[in-house]
Amino acid sequence: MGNKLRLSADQGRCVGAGECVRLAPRSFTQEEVEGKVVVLQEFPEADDLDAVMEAEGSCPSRAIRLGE
Amino acid sequence: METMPETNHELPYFPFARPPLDPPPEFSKFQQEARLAPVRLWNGERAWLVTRFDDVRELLADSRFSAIPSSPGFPNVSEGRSRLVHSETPSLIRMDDPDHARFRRMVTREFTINRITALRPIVEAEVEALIDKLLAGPNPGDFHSVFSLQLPAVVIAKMLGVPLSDNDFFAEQAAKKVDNSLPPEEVVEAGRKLRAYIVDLLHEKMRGPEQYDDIVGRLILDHMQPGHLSFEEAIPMIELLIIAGHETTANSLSLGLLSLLQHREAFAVLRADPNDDIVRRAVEEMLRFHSVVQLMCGRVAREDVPFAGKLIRKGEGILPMLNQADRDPGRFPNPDLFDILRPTMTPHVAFGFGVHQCLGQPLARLEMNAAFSRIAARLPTLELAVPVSEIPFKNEFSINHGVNALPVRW
Repeated sequence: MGNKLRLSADQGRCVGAGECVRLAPRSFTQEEVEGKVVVLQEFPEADDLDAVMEAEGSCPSRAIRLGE
Repeated sequence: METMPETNHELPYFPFARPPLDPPPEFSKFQQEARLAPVRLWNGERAWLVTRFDDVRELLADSRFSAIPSSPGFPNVSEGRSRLVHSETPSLIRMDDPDHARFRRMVTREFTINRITALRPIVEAEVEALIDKLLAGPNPGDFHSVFSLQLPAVVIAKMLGVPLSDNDFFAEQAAKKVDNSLPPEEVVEAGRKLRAYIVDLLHEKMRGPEQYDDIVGRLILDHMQPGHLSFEEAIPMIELLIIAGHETTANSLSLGLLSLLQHREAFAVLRADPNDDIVRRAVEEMLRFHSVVQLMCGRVAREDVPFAGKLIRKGEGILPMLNQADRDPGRFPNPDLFDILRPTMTPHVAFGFGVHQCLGQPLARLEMNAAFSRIAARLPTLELAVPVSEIPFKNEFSINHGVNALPVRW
């Protein structure tokens, strides 16, 4: 697949609830100082996309973007 | 655009009486008929109820609505609540950003998925000890007081570094603070006692914070000593950490167990193979089905806001009903059915949404998963000791729904 979706997260918006890490642990983690989101896969694997989309939809502070 | 009715005589009074295991029947009517339903509060003020899942999430994610309960028009749900929020320094859940974010950032690291996962052995050991205690006590016994109220209290006490011997004191004050049926003076007095205790705790730990490997010790070292957090600001923050996970988790455990025992086929599935996946599904269904926080997430419009097809005027209160949102048939097929084997685990709003979404949710989930995994393995003959009609449930004035006792036998 040539056109992979790019995953990004806004640490300024993130409130560290950890929903993304729970729902898509292969794609996200949290840094240890303030628990902010860290993206592990800039271009998630096809197998991980469902989980990433669920994390995007469930992020309480809408800090996650999956797009072109 | 349609706005709030000018007169409120005919508006229904909030909160509504509720059956023990479902939200008030009026809520599902509102959910079907209108996205916003005007209601009247104890003091005659009016507020909007929000019951649809998508609307509840949108509301809680919208910074044009304020969480500051001392703001004019904020829908405080009882006189006790109103007096409390006008007399106390607020904790971060009663602030808006950027103030809220400044304080929340100081403790988020204590509740990251990784940090909480590392606590699993401690939580599991506590679960085993409490099951031992239940089994060693009278049969039938009260699961709520022996297990549900104890587990979250013991775990958070260890994390914060407060003596376990003070747990009964916390439990009593925390329960009073969230009980809207009490006389206002008692609610305010419970808050005062809790904060006086925390003042003493802080003074003691400030004498040598480096010797304490706990949240309070780290707050003192990393935030109070460098001057990011004042003594006065630390008090409501520590109080919040003590009480936020107390009754919420306890009631989620007891109501969750109640549903499991009512649905023997679900309990049988869990008992046959209590693996992590099936336990996780069962716990998420318990959280969704009961969504225990029934009166905590009110907001007030900071400006005129077009919302859900109406115009919410500046200073109007708005109350998202998490429990009804988690019964929205547009989101959850057969929402009133308790089904631990739902084909998809659709995320719910039992922990709220937006910047105030529960900070302790990984901990609550860990406690519930550890509890039900071991209950299934160790208490295969567990059953209710009384008919559901004889269980003492909390009422609509309680911030968290739940029980006051859960008699079980094994």
